[in-house]
Amino acid sequence: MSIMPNVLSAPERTARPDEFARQSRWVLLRRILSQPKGVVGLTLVTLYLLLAIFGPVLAPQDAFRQNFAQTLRPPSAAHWFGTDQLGRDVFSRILVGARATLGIGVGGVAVAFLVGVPLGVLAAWRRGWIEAAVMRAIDVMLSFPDIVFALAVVAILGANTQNVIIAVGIVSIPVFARTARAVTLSILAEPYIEGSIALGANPVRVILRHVLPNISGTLLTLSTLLFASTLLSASGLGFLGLGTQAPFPEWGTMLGESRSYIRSHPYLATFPGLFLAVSALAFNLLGDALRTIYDPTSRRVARRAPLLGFLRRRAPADPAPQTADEATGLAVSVRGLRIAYRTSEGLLEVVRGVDLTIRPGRTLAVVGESGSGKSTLLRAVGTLVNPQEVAITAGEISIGGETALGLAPAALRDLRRRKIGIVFQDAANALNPVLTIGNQLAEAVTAGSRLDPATVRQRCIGLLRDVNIADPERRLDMYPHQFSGGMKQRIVIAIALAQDPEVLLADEPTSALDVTIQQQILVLLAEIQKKRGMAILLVTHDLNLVARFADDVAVMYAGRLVESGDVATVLERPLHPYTQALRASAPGGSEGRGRHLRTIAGEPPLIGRLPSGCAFRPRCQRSANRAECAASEPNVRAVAGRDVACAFAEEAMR
Amino acid sequence: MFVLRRLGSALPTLFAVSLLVFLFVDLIPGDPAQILAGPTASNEEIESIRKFLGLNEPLLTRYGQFLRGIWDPSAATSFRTHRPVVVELSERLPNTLIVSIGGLALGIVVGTIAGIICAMRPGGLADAAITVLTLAGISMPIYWLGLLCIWFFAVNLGWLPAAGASTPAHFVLPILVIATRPAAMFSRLVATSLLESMGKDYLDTARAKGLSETRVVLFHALRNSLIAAVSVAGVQFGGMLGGSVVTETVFGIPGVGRLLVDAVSRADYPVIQYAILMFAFFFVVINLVTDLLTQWLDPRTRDQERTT
Amino acid sequence: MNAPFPLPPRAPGTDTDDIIVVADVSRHFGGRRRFLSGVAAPVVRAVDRVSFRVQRGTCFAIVGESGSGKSSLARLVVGLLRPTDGEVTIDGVPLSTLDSAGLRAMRRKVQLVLQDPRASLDPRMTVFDTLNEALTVHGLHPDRTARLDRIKSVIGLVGLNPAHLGRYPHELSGGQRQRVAIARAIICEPEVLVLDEPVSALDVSVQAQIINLLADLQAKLGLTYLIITHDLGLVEHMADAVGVMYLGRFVEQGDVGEVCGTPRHPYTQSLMAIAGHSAPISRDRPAPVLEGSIPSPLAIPPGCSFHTRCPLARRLAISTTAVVETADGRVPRPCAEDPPPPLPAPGGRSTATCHFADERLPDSDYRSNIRN
Repeated sequence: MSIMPNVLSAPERTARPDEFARQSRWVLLRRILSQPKGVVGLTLVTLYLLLAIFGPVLAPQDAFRQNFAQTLRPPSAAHWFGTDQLGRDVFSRILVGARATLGIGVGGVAVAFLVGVPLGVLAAWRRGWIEAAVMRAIDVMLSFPDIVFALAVVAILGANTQNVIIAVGIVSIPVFARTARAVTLSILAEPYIEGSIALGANPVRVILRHVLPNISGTLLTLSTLLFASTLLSASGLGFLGLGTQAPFPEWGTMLGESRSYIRSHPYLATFPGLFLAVSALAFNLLGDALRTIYDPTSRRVARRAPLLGFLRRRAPADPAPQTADEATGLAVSVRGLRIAYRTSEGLLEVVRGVDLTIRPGRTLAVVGESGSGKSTLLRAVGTLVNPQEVAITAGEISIGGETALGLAPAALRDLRRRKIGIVFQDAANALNPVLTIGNQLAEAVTAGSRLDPATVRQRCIGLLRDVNIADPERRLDMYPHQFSGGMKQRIVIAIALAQDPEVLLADEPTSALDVTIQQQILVLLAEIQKKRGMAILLVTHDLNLVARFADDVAVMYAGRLVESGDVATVLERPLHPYTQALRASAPGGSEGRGRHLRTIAGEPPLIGRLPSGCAFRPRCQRSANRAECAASEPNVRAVAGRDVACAFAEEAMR
Repeated sequence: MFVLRRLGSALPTLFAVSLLVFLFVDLIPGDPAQILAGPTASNEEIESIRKFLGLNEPLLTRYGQFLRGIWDPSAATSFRTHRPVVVELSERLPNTLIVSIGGLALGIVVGTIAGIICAMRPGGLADAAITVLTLAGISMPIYWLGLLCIWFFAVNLGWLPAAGASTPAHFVLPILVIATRPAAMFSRLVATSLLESMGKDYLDTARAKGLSETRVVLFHALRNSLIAAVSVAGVQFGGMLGGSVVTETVFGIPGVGRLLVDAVSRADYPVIQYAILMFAFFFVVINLVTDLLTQWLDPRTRDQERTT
Repeated sequence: MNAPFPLPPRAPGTDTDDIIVVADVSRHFGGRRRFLSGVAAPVVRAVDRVSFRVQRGTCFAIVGESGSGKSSLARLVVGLLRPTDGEVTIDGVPLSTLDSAGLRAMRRKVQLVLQDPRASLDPRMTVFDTLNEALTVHGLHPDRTARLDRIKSVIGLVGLNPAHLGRYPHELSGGQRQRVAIARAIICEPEVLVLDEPVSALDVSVQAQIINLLADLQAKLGLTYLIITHDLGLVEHMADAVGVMYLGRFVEQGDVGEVCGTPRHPYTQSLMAIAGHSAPISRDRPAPVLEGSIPSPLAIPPGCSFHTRCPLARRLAISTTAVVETADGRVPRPCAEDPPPPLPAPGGRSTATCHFADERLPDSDYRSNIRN
């Protein structure tokens, strides 16, 4: 999931010249209606609200008229939902009761919102004793189970509709106050708030213009979801006989009255219960849809395969037929690899035909910008792409002479264990926070074999020594968060080395680290490589690092390798215009001071929106509207000791 | 250190709670004695009730008296039955606890399994079914579900008794019904947090070690998810205790919740006060325990506390 | 030393034209007693006795690793943080004399551009709203058409066009967002821009565009820049003067050519060695590696705070007798015990805070003239 870069949520770039107005307010509606649960939820909620407004008018009969000749009748043409113990028409009572039932919900949420939200925002903004007092009060209120608290309020004030509203409202105040405080705090921590304060905006403006609009979504979601639970607890009070008092109809009260007749006349409980349950469901559905829109964490979940996706999921494309591998002796061999993301609009190609090889003991650096497909390539080589999200549509990968595609799970595990070690950019994420270092190392050491604990421990200690961690015996019992960033990365490297892999894959292994620590890690990797003779595939955006560390370099642009070869050859005299520009655009060196840097016009292309012909064409100075560049994607050719994908590579040599 | 500090913050809460519950009688608009005596009572009658309630005593004395009622059976008696409130409560507490704990345990087990299934096969048939069931479970009024179950299992099929608490069979339906909410909550929570941790690099680290997918999910991903689940379990348990008010009425179980409802409708103030105090006490203790448990389970917070 | 961008002529009669003067500024966090328990939270010395001046129209860079306190220092200059000690003076006005309203008005002169433009723009405001807010806050161009003209001219100045005004931040690319952030900063005609890692969140090919834009704007508008960065390449390219920060203090500061060309502090030397080395790391010979990591700001080492990692101190410890044994190895006594004084370079264009700043890196037979 993490390898899906933001390109998938490709920004719409529709030009709307001179239209400065905010986007139309229908955007929210559109986004709700784009989700099935949003459609169902919103429709039902609208129906219920209409029912609450027009219910009493629509009721075919007098909801209060008792008729002792017609008590407890089953549903019939005259009484669609039957009659109750006093002979009143249940259908009419439900229509009339909608207003009280939903009104209690609306009133309760309104009370809670109006008291809780200002309190929460105030607490987050002022901090200090106000926050302490609000939080303490919330603690005390949350010490009572909510329905018990509501019961107590009703016991004090007396049982009637208005008091039920107050009761369920008070019960929800802490929830609103707490959420409002939490989201306000998180918004206040956003850089744009600091930006706005640095701009000179006063506190009132910051709250009104920046904080409130940004917390409104969360609060709307919360209100909707709370409406459902408020409805249920208010009706619960009615069910207990402590809500709306007879003879006024309210669904919960009606359910409570039907309790005595459940044995003989079960349908009496059916209809009010059904209306209640469906209304709660409607608000829950709508709330869920809103949450998907406003809550970034649930959006990540929403990006997962669509519900019922199994109905339209295709079988994964078969990898290319396995040819006999002539690439023995190579640590890594990739041929014609094409990788695509599975999206709702079909396959989106991110790696578009990549060939690469790494010999044992060598380091290949793949250089590229964000969205170039370099990380996906690395994960594919590491056999770690998630087949539910990513499809390898063509090509072959072999690691240490063994094919890595189309393997059965057991064979795949075996290959990963014996041949592949992997190091990620963020060591903090690459280690499980709740397991000790020793635990995680031991797991890597024992995978696929049975060793006695003492041997395992010795091996773990040895590994930590290999990555220059002092005092390894003591460190084994520590947790990841107890180490600095550089140390964590050493531990990740130790785990990767546990089974003596043939290839070490490193995805930006140092870019999260400080420069001095970067150097330490690179030197460490170089030393280990010298000792063990493994191959390293390094993915990075930093040409400087490539020059210092790699043997070979491959420059990646829009899913293809545009120039690859020996580091000295490629970087000293790049032939592809992209490589040239990358090389020239890095600031540094006193000779260039004050002069303009050479830039590459425009921005990297979005995946799925590549230009025709050569992908670099729109940003290329050399292309200059030449027909060849627009006609087709240039083939990779060998020119002056490296492979380059440019039709006019030779021009750079003049 | 953290344990002490957390205890230190729970005590003022408990104190505030007891004060609030104690002042409950004074919060009632009008004179409680007057309300109890009814509209036709004479002034002497009201005065005698005032005396009986101790309303003429100074506030502090009354608070002391109130606290004494927690352990001294003679200090507080029910208006209705004239039995000590403490006895009334302790008689009924086991029933409430059996239903709450049973329901919670069942809900957690079912919900966790359902959540794992959802997360392992997102978009699958099981995921679709569980998601729909989860939403229904959250939206279902417990009292309606209870009535339906009584009608179906007890009246129609005759498999289980409809109301009461005399045999273990009586507890089956309430536990099943009350488990729906925690089950729905947990399946959601576990699925969400599992899916969230599915994208984490440390799972790929684990896969690269050559571990099986089952081990990766159960040992690495689930472990992290369950830490978050503990605090939700605590809140849910509190919710179940509160929910006993409704379930015990539906299933006619003589428990604390039912006692409270009866007391509210009959203005039996001592019973209301002590029942609410008991619920609140349980709630505070549960919050305390889950906080400590989460703290202890997560090495990150565990250590933070040690160093500061 | 050629100035990178033409300096505006200095007003005659004023011997200094320093728009930013930071005098002996410290900022400590924590230290307050905790409620109830009475235990004081540990003190973090984020910024410790830092002084520097920035001349109008020039560019000053603050370089450091994470945790060095460089971001806190930037916020002290903007007035988002109040110093624990010392004084920040902007254009002759000491910030301590201003109340919060005065400080807000002062911010018109000093604007901040943050690292990640994705996060520093309000996601619910269009580009127009964002720029308009800046004008509203400072009550500039109350007339509608004049305001629109100003917004359009600024958006052109940063290389965007009016079509971008209706867009939301998520509809822009990273480079465009950073241009909007810069537009918001310059729309109120400030004199100082504080740039906190202005390009490090951008793609390599876009970074150069933004660097060029900043250079053009400085030339056109006569801006003064204070750049916070970890990128020495950027410093060498843009800055006139630089301060190298380590654990809240400047270890070396002065003219860029001097500090980057002939660094005198071992920490600067190590940084320059890493940044300047595009030669492959030789796998047969140990490369210059700075050991260990930055100590926690909660426990700043005594004496010279760099002595726990200092390669120079290690080497000197071999050849001198006045050494002490520390947890991190043998180092000369003064390094572990006395805070080093600032030592000006021979030409006086830079200052290094190191006991042994004038010792050349010792060769194997180097053993003379070691002060104790």
